[in-house]
Amino acid sequence: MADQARFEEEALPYASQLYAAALRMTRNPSDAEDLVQETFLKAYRAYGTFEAGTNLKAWLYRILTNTFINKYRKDNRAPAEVELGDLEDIYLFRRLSDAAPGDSTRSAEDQLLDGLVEEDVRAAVESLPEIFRLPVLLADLEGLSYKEIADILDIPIGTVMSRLHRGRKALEKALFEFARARGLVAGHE
Amino acid sequence: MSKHKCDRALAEIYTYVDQEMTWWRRLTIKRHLAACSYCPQAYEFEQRLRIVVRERLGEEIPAEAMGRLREMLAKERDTT
Repeated sequence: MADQARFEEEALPYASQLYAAALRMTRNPSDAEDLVQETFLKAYRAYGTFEAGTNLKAWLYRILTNTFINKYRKDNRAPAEVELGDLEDIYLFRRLSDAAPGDSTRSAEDQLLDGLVEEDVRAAVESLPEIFRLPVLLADLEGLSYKEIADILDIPIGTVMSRLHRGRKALEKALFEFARARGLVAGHE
Repeated sequence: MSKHKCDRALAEIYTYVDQEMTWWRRLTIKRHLAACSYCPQAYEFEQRLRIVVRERLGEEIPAEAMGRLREMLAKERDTT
C-alpha cells in the first residue's frame, strides 16, 4: 500500500514526461494538460491500491494511456489495423549510405541528425497512426521495456514488437521526408 | 560477408538496440558485427537515431500547467 500523503512527492516528478507523451498522443496542448490532470487525479485516488516499491512510472503510464484511449480518442472504437505497406529495414541509413557511400556516410549522418529539429521529430511521430504511435512513444520517449508496454497497452509482447518495429520504420520514412524538405539529404526516389 | 547474414542482422536491429534479445542471439549478432563491414555502421546509426528522437521529443510541462496540477491535487486532498 502506498501512502497517499506522499503521492505528490513521488508522482509529480513524472509530470513533464507524462506531459510530453500526452502532447504527442492528443496533438494539442490544452487536451494534453487535461489528460495529465485527469491522470494525476485518478492516480491520486487510486494511490492506496498502488503497491509501494513496484514500478510507479509504468503504473502512471498505464493510467495515462487508458485515459487517452477511453476519452480523447475521437472515435471510441478500437482503431482499425492500419497497413503501413512494405517497410524496409534501416530505411534512413540505407538512404544515407546510398546518397553518400563509403567514408562520407558518417558526415551525412551527422548532417541529418544535427539538422532535424524538434518540430520535425514531433510532427513525424504525430504522423504515425495511433496503434503504432503509442508503442513508439512508450519505447522511444519513455524508455519502457517491451513487457511494460505490453502490460500498459494490454497486448501480447509479440504484438508490441511488431507494432513498435513497424512504427519505427514508418517514423524513419517520415523523418527522411522532413530531412529532404530541409535539404539535409541528397535524396532521389 | 554473406548478404543473408546481413539481412538477418539488420532485421533484428531494433530488438538488439532495445536490449530485448536473448543472450545467445545477441552473441550471434555480436560475432557478425565484429566481422562485417556494413552492419556495424547501420547499428550505430540506429542507436544515435534513438537518442536524437528521445531528446527532441522531450518537453517540460509549462510552469502554469504545473501550478494548475498542484492546485487540483490540493483541492482534491482538502475535499477528501
